[in-house]
Amino acid sequence: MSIPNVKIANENMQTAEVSINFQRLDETQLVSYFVKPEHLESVFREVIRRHQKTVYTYVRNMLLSHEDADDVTQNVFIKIWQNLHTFRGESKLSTWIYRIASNETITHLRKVKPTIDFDEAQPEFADSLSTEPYLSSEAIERKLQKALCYLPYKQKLVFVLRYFEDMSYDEISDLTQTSVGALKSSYHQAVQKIEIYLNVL
Amino acid sequence: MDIESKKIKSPFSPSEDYFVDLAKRIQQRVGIEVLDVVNREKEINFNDKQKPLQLTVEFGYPLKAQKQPKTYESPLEVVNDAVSEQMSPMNVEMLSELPDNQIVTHNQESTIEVPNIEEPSNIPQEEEKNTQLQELVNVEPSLEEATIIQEVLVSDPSEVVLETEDLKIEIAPIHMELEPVYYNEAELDALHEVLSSELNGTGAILELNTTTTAEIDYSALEVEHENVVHSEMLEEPSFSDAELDALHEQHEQQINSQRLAQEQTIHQTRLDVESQQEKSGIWQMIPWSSVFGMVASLMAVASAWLIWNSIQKPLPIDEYIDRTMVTKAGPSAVPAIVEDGIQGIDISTLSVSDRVVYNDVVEEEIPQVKNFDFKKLSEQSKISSVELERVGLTVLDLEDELFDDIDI
Repeated sequence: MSIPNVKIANENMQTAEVSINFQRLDETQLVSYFVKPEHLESVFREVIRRHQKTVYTYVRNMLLSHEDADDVTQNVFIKIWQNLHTFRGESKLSTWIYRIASNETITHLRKVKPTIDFDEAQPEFADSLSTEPYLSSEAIERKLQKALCYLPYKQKLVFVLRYFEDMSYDEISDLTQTSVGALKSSYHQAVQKIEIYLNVL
Repeated sequence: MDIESKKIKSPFSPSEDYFVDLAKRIQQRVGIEVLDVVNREKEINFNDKQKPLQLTVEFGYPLKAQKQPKTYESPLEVVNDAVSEQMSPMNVEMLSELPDNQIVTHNQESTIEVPNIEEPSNIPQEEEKNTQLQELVNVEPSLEEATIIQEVLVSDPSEVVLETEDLKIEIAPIHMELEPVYYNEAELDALHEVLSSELNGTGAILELNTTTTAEIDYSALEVEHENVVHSEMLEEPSFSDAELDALHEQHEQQINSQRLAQEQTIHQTRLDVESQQEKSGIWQMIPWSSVFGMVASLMAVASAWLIWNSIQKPLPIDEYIDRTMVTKAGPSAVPAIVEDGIQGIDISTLSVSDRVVYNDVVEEEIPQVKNFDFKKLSEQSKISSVELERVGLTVLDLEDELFDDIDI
């Protein structure tokens, strides 16, 4: 049931059923199946399996709300499904997915708050954090999330990608189309602000 | 609080069930067949070696005994329980080739008979033993009986009947032809005296037979002994006390002189060895392997020291950034260029970035933060700013527009 049974014609035009275990493929091998329509559903399921947790966590870190993160995560994977065949592997698959997730997050924020200024902090999000589901009971982790609410969106984005997602500056640069130097500066400013916040509170 | 040294996790940790549900909802929304994608690893992992099917039935009567089949040789080890009682008739029928009338079932009384060990008085005579042994040798067990003995499974000790007739322990007779020797009292006394005389060192030899008697004259033996002792005492020289003292002193002098000679010899030998050691030098006493080892250790330490100094510990990325940013863009590094370049350097020969630095230094020594719209800059300014950032002289902040829209 879970294994796709694919009929492949060989040179003698004889068909043979081949079961492909996509879970054992690396990213490059998996991407090579994006252009094969007969495998698209199975490949998409594998993409969901590999990336849904990271997408959800990333979106949740940016939006804080579980409901919003759930909606945005679904939208992200719908966009991935719609454009899976267009991905050519010029960048890493994860970077491509993060980029879609970032755009969907911004789109969602603009939809929720049309007058949002991404250069300004959004501290009002911190108030609703304690009532959110799937939240750890660790005080320091909650405190850090509250501190993130006092960062401008740009700095928060760089900090989340670097600190929580462990992305390199090059990957973040590829994702945000921003220079590495600017990213480093932004990240250090974010760290300083968070440390001040954590020490004061 | 240093959040980079001690990493803090994200507080959002949904359960696995949520992700299973989320994956299903995503598949529903995109309109594909809904499958469980989260737990698929377990379902399609063909390489997992499952346990083979257990074909043996673990209830009812087993077709084969689990333990080693019991024979009549070890009847007392058989466990007599309800299951074995039920099994025993069937097993006997299956495994035994004996006729039914020879099979003893558990319904009959126990007929264990203890082997009859014959008393010494009942031991047969030698001729009878020989004939019995001959019979035992000639009688060989048939093949049929041997197989029956091996295959009969006894699960009930009451079935065991020990046939004493078959168990025959034959003891070979011991033949020792010892003729009795009889002595009268006189011969016994003579023997006693001979033995005692041998112990006393006298060599009296007596010929014993049934008719001779021995007579020993004790008085003659005693006289001879006294004469011997007396003659020995007479031959010993007698000394006066003065002579004894002189002899004693003489012996002492001899002993002392010998001891002195030995000590001198030892001392001389020791001196010779020490002089040889001094002549050969201390290096000859040290093994060459130790010398080479010490030299190699010193060389290893020296090379490690050189390597340690030549290869420095890699800096953390953040410290590296701070250092490079300060040294390249900080005010402390710039005045050196200004002082040397104001008079001696032709500005037209400098690169674009150096010219910008040069002008910045002359006009304002402390770098300031400038806000400008990159899109509105001239092409030359764009090139200059990019060049400045490339060489690390300035840091451009993030663009106003976060991301370009993805072409999807």
